Amino acid sequence: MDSKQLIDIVAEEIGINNTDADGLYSALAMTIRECADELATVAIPGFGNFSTIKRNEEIVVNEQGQKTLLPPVIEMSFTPSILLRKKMIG
Amino acid sequence: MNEKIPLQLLAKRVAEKSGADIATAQSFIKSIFANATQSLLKGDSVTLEGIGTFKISHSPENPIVFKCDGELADQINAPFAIFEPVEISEEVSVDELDTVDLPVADDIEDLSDEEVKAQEIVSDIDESSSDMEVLTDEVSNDAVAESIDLNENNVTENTIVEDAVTLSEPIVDVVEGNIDVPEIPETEITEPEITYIPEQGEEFVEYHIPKSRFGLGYFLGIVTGLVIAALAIAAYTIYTSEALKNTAI
Repeated sequence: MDSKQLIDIVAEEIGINNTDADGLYSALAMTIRECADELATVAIPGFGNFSTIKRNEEIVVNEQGQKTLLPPVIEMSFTPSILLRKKMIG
Repeated sequence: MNEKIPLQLLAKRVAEKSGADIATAQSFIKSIFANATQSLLKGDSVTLEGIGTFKISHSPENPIVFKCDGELADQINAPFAIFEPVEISEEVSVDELDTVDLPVADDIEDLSDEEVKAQEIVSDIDESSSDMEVLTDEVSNDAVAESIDLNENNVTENTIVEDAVTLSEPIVDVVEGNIDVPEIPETEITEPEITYIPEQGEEFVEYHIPKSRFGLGYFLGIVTGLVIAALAIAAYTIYTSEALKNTAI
């Protein structure tokens, strides 16, 4: 399922038109981006947490013994909530 | 940094951006992720544009795999975009890589002192340059006034302009060769005040007579001495004459 399908379903569920739903979705994506820039964690009850982790530069060695210095990177990770995890495991 | 954004705050920020009310934004967010959960439970993957993709994994430890949206990943890694993976030669050891020459605290203080000194010097230069400007203004005004006076005496303007250039060379830009006498408002040219001195028939010369070391006291001393000597001689003469009379008697 993609975001467009989700927006259509949600717009119908909460009783708003698709234009407003598109605007709300854009605002949601933008807010999550801003939170990621701030290295903040976004908590969605019943779904999980979006958090950003900064990994420092590191040296990796391949099979031939060649060392490579990797630059630092900020990764966005998702941790499912306990409820969602239980549902998924069944 | 490392702040946790709860649903209420997220809904408030979404509402501010979209123009909707907070309750609508909150129900929208809840509904989006509730439907995403339903889709995942059905076994489908969910792609949220601008956020990322959720896929199902059969690992019990991590049942959902999240892949961040590429554009979002680029945005949050923008500060490190200038860095690229660098291959390290085998000759370089890890210990050498860990060594970084950072300035120690003393050096930092010294640098700050030098910076302060440099700022003081710059401020001094600024002050002196402002003085120079004042001086050059005065000099240029004087030079122009002088040039006007000298023009009357059939002196070429070129030489005067060159003189003005040499005097005001540090600040004022003067085009050499072109005889452009700057137009100065009449109010700026102040003629020197001339005090009238009436002519006299003869030139009065004041001779300076040097003072003698022998003053009036010297002459009074001599006169007093002569008077005393005269009195003494007279007294001696009278005394000797009376003594001769007594002996004759």
